[in-house]
Amino acid sequence: MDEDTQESIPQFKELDDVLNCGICHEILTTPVITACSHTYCSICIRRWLSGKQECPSCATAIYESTLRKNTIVGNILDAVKNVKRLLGKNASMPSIKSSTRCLNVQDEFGDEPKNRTIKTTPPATPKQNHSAQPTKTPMLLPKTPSPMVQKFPKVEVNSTPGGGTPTALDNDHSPAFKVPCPVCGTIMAQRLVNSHLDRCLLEPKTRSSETVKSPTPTVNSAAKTSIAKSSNSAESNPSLQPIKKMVYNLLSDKQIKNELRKYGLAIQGDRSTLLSRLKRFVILHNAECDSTTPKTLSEMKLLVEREEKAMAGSSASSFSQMFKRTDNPQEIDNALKEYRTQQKASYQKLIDEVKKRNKHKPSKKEECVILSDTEDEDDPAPIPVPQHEPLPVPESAHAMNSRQADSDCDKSGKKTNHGNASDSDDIACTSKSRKSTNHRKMTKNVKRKCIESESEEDEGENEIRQAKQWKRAEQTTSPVLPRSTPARQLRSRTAQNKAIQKRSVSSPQSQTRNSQRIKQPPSKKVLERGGGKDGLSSSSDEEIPSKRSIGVKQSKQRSPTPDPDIFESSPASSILFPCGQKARCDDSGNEALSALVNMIDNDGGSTTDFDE
Amino acid sequence: MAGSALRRLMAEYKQLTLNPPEGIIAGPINEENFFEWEALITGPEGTCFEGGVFPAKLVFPSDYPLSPPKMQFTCEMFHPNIYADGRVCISILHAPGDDPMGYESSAERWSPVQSVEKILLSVVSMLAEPNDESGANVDAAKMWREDRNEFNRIAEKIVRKTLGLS
Repeated sequence: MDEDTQESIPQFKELDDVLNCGICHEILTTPVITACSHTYCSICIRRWLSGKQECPSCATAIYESTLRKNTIVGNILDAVKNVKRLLGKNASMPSIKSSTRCLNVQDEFGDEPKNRTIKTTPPATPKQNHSAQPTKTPMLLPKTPSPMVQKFPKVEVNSTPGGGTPTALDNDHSPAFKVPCPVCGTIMAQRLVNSHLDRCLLEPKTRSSETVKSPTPTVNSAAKTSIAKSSNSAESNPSLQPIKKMVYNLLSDKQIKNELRKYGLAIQGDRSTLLSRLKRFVILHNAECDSTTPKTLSEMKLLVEREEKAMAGSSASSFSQMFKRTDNPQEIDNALKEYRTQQKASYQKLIDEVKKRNKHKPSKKEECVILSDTEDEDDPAPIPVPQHEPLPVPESAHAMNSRQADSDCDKSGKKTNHGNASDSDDIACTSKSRKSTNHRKMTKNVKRKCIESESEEDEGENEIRQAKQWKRAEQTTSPVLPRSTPARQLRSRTAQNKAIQKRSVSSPQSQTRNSQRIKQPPSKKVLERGGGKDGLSSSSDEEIPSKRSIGVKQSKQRSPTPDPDIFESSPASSILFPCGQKARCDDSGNEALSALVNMIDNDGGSTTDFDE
Repeated sequence: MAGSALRRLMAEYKQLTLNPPEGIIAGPINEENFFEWEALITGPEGTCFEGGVFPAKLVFPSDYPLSPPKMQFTCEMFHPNIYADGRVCISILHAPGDDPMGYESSAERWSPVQSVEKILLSVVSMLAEPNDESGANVDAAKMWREDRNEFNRIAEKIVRKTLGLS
């Protein structure tokens, strides 16, 4: 019926919107008003307030005890319903049901859409029904059609004086919206009483009931209605009082059962079931207390049972299953592992490429060291780090971890030296060979020295120290990873010095960093630290620093990462090399390395987020 | 209550079908199960996501609308407020009291007067104006802040991908 009326009279849409409950998005049922002047269905707002004490619309703190019945909105709803029913039906024989009765019936079938009318009484005059709605009583029509009716072409106004007067009174009508005719005593809808009265007074003889000497042409229908309402509700449910608030958590099982028994509810199930049942009933019961025609206890009981059943069979389980957060470190590890195996080919390609390039350079084992030079940093790792500062932190964490784990497993307790040193061989290889090429070109009058063995030892020492510190900083189990890929190590290498410096702060975070990237929500802290890898961004501002210092400065300026202190790590790195040896790299080394890192980026090294 | 959730979802579905907001389509994946919806969101005009059509999945709890639904993009996304797995991190989807980032005011969180339509509109505006204060995707947030051009480039790539162009 709503569809039809809405289509023909768009104003009804507006009216419906206004009379909609914000929570259930349906026409209000038993409207109540909150302290902040918002109106909802009694049951809807009570359900919500059982969880949160705030208004859904304005977030003001409100309490169930402050809810008040919104009588006037209730009356408006009933009036609108009546009008709609009149318009929706062919007006030749409109069946005007008591709206309250209608509401009541629908409420009994809580799971049905509210607008659907449930046939509870057999239609009295089925022949003129155009819609599926049952006609309860043939009623009189107003003699003069309302302007609304005139606008509505479908409505055919049939003023049948006298003929339409109901002869049989429907006794199961709730009198809430029916008023007896003061003349003949016929019960009818209040809005029809005036027109009926006119007729009734004209033909007093046809009325069986006693004549009234002074008919009141202006019936205070509202007053009558309210009287009728109150009397009705008092009759049907004289003892319906709101259940007082209980502190559910303090109730013992026995008390809960007692309460349930008091209202004739089932007492099967565990405590949580019982509690939810009781809560559900109390909400429903208290909502019914606001209703003009409350349900009986048995009806409520039925509803509670049905609700419970529906909840049990609902999709609650699938909801929680669909989005699961992986807190399980094993799963995260597996994801990482998978990623590594996926990317292994590209890493391998890079390594091969580098090796091939290095084949042409003869002095692979040579390492140039400028003893006197203090100007430059001497990372044992490739140079392009400045462009990738934040990246290596997490990587290094993992590399460390894996290495540590490797050594732990391989050497079984005997920690490190050789295991670590050998593990880091590939990196040492690549970086060193690179350096050697650089220096071959550049250093003509510098002291040459083969420090292969030495530097390796140094690195081994580094590893040990780092591993120990890591252990200290973080006692958690280090995830067993596949042997960290050389390319990753290569990159991570540069950050190790920094990592050492900042270990106490960064280690726990950076260790969990990778896993966060994959599944977990990052904490705000991580963001502020700027720990994200910006491989993607850096690949764009990739440049070949022809002059190293300038390049560094530029990248410093260009990338305002929150970790500028990577550049300050040079002193630390010199400390790390106890011999005070300083490696020096020249431009071509930079070039090649940046190209390498660039390649890693392009090969998906930094597109973790997309691939997963 | 599952009944009321179903009724409400049906009402919302009807509403969305009759008066669809611009650039948004949403409805149950399967009419048998009204608790799982699919939505298509077009990227807001004048932003880096312009032209894209992003599919997402919405899952409703059985006590909807008392609890908020969850939303997950099913396509690749690169956005500060979308996790790598596509889950959307937006205040309207957070129940009051559940404040993962610790800064949301109660007024902008989920309440039963919100609706699917409002959620989807919020997501559209989120696409247009990422909130880099609460980074669900830290890398994206960082890039949004520091390297907007690169961010735009990636967004464009994603848009092309959702359209099947690359």
